[in-house]
Amino acid sequence: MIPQIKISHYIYGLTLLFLLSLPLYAESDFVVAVMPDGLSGSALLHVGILIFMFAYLSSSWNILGGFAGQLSLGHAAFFGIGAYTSSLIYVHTGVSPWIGMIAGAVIAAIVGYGLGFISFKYGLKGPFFALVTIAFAEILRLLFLYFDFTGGPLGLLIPLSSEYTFWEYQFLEKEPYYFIALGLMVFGIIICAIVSSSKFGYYLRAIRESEEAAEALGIHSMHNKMHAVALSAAMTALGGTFYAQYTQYIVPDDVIKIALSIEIILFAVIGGSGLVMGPIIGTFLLVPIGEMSRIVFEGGGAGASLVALINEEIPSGEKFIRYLEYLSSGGGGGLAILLYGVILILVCLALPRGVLPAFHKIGMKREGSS
Amino acid sequence: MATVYLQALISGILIGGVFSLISVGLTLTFGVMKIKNFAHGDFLIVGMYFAFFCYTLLGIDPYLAAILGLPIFFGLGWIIQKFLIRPVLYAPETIKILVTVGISLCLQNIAVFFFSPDFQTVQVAYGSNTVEFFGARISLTRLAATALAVVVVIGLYQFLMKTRTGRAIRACAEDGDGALAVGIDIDRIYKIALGISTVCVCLAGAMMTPFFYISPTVGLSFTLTAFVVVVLGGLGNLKGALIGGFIIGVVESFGEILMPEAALKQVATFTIFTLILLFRPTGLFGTKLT
Repeated sequence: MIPQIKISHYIYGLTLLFLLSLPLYAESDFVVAVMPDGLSGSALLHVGILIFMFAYLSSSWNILGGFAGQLSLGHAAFFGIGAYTSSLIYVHTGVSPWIGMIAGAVIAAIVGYGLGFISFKYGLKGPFFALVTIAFAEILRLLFLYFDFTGGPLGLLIPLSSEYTFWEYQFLEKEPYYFIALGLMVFGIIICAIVSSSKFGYYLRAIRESEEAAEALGIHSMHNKMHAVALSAAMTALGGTFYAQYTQYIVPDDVIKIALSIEIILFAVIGGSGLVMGPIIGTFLLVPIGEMSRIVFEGGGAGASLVALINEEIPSGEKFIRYLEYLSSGGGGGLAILLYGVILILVCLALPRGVLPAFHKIGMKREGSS
Repeated sequence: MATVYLQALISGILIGGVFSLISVGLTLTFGVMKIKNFAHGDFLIVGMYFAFFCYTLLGIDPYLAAILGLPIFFGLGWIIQKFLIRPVLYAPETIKILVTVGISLCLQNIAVFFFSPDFQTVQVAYGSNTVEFFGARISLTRLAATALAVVVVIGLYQFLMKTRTGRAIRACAEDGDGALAVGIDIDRIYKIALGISTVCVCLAGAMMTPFFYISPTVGLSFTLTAFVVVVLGGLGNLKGALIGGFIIGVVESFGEILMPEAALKQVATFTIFTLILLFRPTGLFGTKLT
């Protein structure tokens, strides 16, 4: 067991060095030549930022969903709380989003405690906890759409600051965002590693395996689960602030949507939930696949309307050809998520513990044979 | 004022029938094989798009399309059970849920890719016909959907009670190992159960098209509603799902008139749902598949 961990540590270290140095040559001729069109320079950094952010969010989810085994399908709610708290504070008072980030995390933690308290007090488990988290996220999204102070359906535009400094959390180039996102991901890994090897982590895993057995051993399952929700929520909120500062514009239908909650889970489960590096591996495998499909089928059904096509007065043969053209231009979009869905099903069927344990197995076989 | 309440009551009952039909499908798989199908509502779009294309391309009436589609709906459930659900039947709870989440993602995004994310409607000639009832208006298409839903649920109940296959399904719900021991092919029963379950949802979807919009993501809120109905009616209880559907329909409908702000109506609905899930009155009608 020990030699494998060492090898994987080298691989992780080298990957981190590579990622740290990537902005230096993201625009070099070599990268432009090797990567497909539209995936070099700042576009490449953008994909990097997405990967780091989702890896971080999946890691945050992993504490609750992976270690503690409480399936939350509403983590976008905490993401939204983070994004809106820092942005509202910045818009109204001009206080640095860095401070707002912490405020958002605190609020998310309090909300997480509340949600955990209510859900676990009434003994919600498995699918019922998942349903309540979905309902909670939907309620929050609808409320944010309804109220005026959040900008409602128009969203919240983060005003440009006069100067681009670190303290203002706004930058012209992608590089600073890239390094902040990378830092967040490393932070997420460290927190997960600490939790994983701490007493708290062992408690959570015991609760995941059998709540009754854990209780019998004297573990207060409700307290520990509530701590897990709060920690997971607070970390997710930090990611929300980053997203708000990166895109400079947030709207409830974008930051609190169910699709986001599900994406966060996908990466963690496919990589290997309950493992420190599982969500990271999952994100690094899946986001590039998703982004590639977006680039290959760019646009996504640009201009063509299905109803208009059906009602057009042309022979059905021609209609069919037009429809095929529509599909080959990306149809109505959604291919990336469709791919994710297929991969999720395949992983559940073939590798229910995720991809990372499968890697470990292969590594172990090699060790054995050499 | 009385008319407003009467109208709310009638609207609630009319949508409640549809809720019942959808929930019966969920409660059946719940009861028979303990699968919590998070893709349940998404099967609605299979029926909806089927009816939509039958109507727009071939001019087939949605109600006729619903009947023509029965073998397809049943086959879809059968195939999904055979290849996707069966392999994870004895896997941990989370894996079971996530497979159905994966199915939900696939169904939604197949629809997005092939049929575009745009909203579609089926505008039949009789779509806006209504009848008067003590000053309240009853939409005929909604009335038809509810009436058909109740007929289907009663038919299903008779099927479960009277036929050999139905008894086998109930035996599996009661005790899977016991059913296996007396020689019931539980694999086949499970496939039939999911087939019936998808038939219920798809039928509901097809029958809703004359008065409801069609979009790839329409299923999610129905998944939530169906779970709430199933919890309220007792897990795996068909009668409970039938009655629960009407209760939720009426509660939602009254919630809407009591909420002055249009935007807050949905919030009220979701809050009621959460409260029902939290206080889970399991056994309101018992949890047996009867």
